[in-house]
Amino acid sequence: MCFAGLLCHLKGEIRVKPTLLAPCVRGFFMTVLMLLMGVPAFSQPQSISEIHGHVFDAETGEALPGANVQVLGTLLGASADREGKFAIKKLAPGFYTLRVTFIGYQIGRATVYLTEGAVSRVDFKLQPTLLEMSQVIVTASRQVEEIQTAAVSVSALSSESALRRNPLRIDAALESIPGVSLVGENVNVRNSTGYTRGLGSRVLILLDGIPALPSDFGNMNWDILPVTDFERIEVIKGPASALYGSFALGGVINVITKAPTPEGRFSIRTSAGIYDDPYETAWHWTDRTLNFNRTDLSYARQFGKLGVRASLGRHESTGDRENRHFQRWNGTAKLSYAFDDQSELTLFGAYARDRRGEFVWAENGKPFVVPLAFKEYRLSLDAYTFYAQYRLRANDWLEFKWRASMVRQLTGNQFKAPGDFQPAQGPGADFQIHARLDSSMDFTVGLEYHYDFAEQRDIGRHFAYTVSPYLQQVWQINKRTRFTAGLRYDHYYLLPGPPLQTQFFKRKPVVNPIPNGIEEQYLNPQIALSYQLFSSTNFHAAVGRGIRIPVLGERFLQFDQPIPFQPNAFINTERSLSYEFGWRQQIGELGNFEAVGFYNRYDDLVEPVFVASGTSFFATLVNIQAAKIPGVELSGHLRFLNDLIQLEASATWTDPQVVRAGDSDEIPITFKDGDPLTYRPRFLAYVSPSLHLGPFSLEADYSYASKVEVQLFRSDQRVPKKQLDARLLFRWSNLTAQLAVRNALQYYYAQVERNFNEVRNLSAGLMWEY
Amino acid sequence: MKLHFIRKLALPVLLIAIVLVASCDYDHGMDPVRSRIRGEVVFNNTPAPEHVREVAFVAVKKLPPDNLLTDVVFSDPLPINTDLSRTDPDTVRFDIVADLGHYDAAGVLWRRKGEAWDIANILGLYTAPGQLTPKTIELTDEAPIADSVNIVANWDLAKRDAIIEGDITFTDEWPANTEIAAVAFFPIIPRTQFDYILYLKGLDISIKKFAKTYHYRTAVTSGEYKFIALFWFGKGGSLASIRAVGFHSCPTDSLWPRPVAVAPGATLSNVDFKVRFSSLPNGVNFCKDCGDCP
Repeated sequence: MCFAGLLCHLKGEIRVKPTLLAPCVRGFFMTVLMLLMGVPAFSQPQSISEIHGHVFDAETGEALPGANVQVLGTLLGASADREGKFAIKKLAPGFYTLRVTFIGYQIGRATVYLTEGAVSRVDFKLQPTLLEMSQVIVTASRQVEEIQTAAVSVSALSSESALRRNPLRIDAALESIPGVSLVGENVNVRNSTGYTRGLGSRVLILLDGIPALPSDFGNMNWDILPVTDFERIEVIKGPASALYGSFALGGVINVITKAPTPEGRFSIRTSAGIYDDPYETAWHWTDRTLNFNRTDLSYARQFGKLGVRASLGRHESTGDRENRHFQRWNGTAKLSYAFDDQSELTLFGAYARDRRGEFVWAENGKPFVVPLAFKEYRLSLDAYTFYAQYRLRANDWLEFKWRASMVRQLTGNQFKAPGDFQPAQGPGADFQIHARLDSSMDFTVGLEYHYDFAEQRDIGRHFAYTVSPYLQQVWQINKRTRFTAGLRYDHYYLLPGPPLQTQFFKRKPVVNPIPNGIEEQYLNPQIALSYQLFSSTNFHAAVGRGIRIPVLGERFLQFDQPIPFQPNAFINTERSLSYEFGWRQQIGELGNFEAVGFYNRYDDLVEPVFVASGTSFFATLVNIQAAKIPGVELSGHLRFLNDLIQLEASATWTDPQVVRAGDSDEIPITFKDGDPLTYRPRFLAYVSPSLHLGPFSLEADYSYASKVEVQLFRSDQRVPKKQLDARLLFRWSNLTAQLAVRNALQYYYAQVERNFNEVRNLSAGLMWEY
Repeated sequence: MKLHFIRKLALPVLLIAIVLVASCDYDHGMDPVRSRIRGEVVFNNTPAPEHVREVAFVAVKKLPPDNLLTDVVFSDPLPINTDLSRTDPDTVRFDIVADLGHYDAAGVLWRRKGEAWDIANILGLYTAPGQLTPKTIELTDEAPIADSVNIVANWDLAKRDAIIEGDITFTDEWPANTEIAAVAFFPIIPRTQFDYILYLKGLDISIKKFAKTYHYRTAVTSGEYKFIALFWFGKGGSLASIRAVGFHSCPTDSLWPRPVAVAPGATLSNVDFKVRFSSLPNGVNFCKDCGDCP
């Protein structure tokens, strides 16, 4: 209660008895004061007790190098080496609970009593599992916690689970996560984003906890990381601006990259496939054999204190339709250097190069052919992401993290218009202190800085920055109850610019509508509670705010094709308020399920509109004064007959609706009160049964999304999404072979008008690790 | 033992299930659109001006359209300035998918570089022989294809480097049988029906019917215009029924057409005039031999 009381007190909304608050507030300020006084003040007497042990696979007996061992209630921990060995030193005498986690295995726990000078030995035998709730996550509270007891609605997708589906990009793997759907290239968490036509996202995308959205358009370049390079993807479903600030309006997706492995590991993954002809003969458009292929190589190894991981990938496709061809390259490198047990430096860099055709939309009645005017449309993207992180554990309860990052993206050659492009650049920095005051109380305090710079042909030259201090408290009130509270203050400043911009596509000066810049401040709180009724039953509830400050492209973008787009520099920041209540249930060895009810209210939701202007028309962005997305989500993962059959299933129902459209003197808002929000299916369902027979697995994914409301071409036929994918996997030693068919039933739908789903395709893949 | 038995059974059951599933008939989602409009566009006065970005055939569900996105069906951009070695370099065929229903008009629009599509930028209209009014198109389940929607497109109508704008005031009630009203721009004062066709340098059919006032803004070729008038077309009327019901006149004589001149790249404003529908059926009796304003 104490930190929540502090938050409420600051906002002046709830009165809490000072006598209840006093010890907590005092404790909190004492902590901050001591932190400011310096690290040495926290040094504790040297202890010589140690815990040593091994981590094994319970079924095969093989060592599990890289398994993470944590001492609960402290910040101490270790990773298993190539023989599965770990050692945790400098422990004071007393009782300790160890928790061991490794991707694809159930969590292991053991309690140890250490006497002065003792060296205890603990071995762990972990059971393999694909159950999502048996994993740990870091995104929900910026601290390691188990999904089963997380206080907010959260899901995780492991690398192994994703690779079974043979996705060619990370975003393709996301749709198996309950409540997550793709509309065009926009990731939707519980229908938050809709379809923004490449401008902005209402889901914050993080790469190892670091913002990865480019500064100009704010839409994720999913090519930046190959699918073989992530360890897991964590998804917070609901606003998380109390921790992450702008963009985290509807949720957060954190892609955790793989770490260097203790033993040297080389892997190659390659797949190739061909596209079928469209089902309707009227839609045939070429006699060529359309195909795609992707190959990724990676190598990881620990050399003493230095860990190295590098990968290189190439992805090429003719596309299944005109102008969907592409050629992509990407490379990543991750270096980590452990100075000692307590400090580590990590450097990560990723580069992606994309040369592709731009499909935009199809000619009416010819869904795989672009209109004549679009035939020459091409796009080039060159992007890199870089971050450096230094982590220092001062003692067993205090940790510091420094981070510096850069997201750079150069968009070029768009819509037949080469030249005059400059990269968008988004440098950032973050300083974070994590203090575990005792076994029941964690504090995270941080200061984040982010700078956005875009100098782009269609945007002009603009700068903005955000400075954001944040606080997060996790309080284990008792064995059953955990309380989380967070607060973040974002100070956004769009810097003044020249009154005339000369970088626009028209090559003539364009008036800068806001030469004096904009200054805005936001305070976003969140509170959440997790209650464990039984060891297998957990309830959670959360209330939180989210914001999304429009990206530079949303304020200033101006172009004339394919549809004239006029900027609306004065659009307001979107805000959301979310309530959710959930129930997580483990059903013994059978599996688990989760049920969540949520209500998300949005203010000033930014939506594109198409406006008739005299005898002409244009597209622009407007604020919808108020909108709501209430909903219910059910998900489960069940195993039958000793894992012979497994079933993953989820269903999400939402009612995305305009509550109050509002009005504008300058731009007619084409929405009316009570209208459904566009590009948001009310019902999503996903079913994935699998049959495992020795080295063979036969798996299928069926996904359904009800038909959506669109903004363009409203008279076009619309149908729900119904897609069936199936695959056969064969595993032998370190080799996995796969045959897969996507869109097996040749079902066609268009969630974005005149953009049909993928044509049926057959692919074969191999993955080998050595 | 039981599990072993189930494992042995699983594969045959699975194969049977796959065969059963594969033999079913499925819903395949979207259907091909079968209704279409087809025809030819013959371009006159080629080549196209430099400032033309693209040209498209359009079918308009409601004239004037409230919204170009919902009320107008666009074809692919039509090829312009085609290969002169072709036998019919100025003729372009089109074949577009259009939803079933009624279309008030069809025609060819051009779009200026750097600007949006504008319903006022007409190169030619689909008309019945001997008519100047738009011919409607009906696409029904029984007749989903409209063939031979042939249009003559006049590039002269796109050679527009200036803008003329003004207010039209309607002084009395619109006739109930109004089909369309359009502002037309002529470098001479037309005397015969041929003059109306030969010297038409600009046409704006976007005039909102039954309005009390209307602000027009029309792209025209720079130069002198001696006659700027609103023409009225009655429902079911023929070429002969076209009447001028108002025109830009001299301040001293309301029946004397006032010449105006607009320079290249300029916008000429306040070219206002009043309309009297009560002058029908003969229309306004304007002076045909007048020079500059007295």
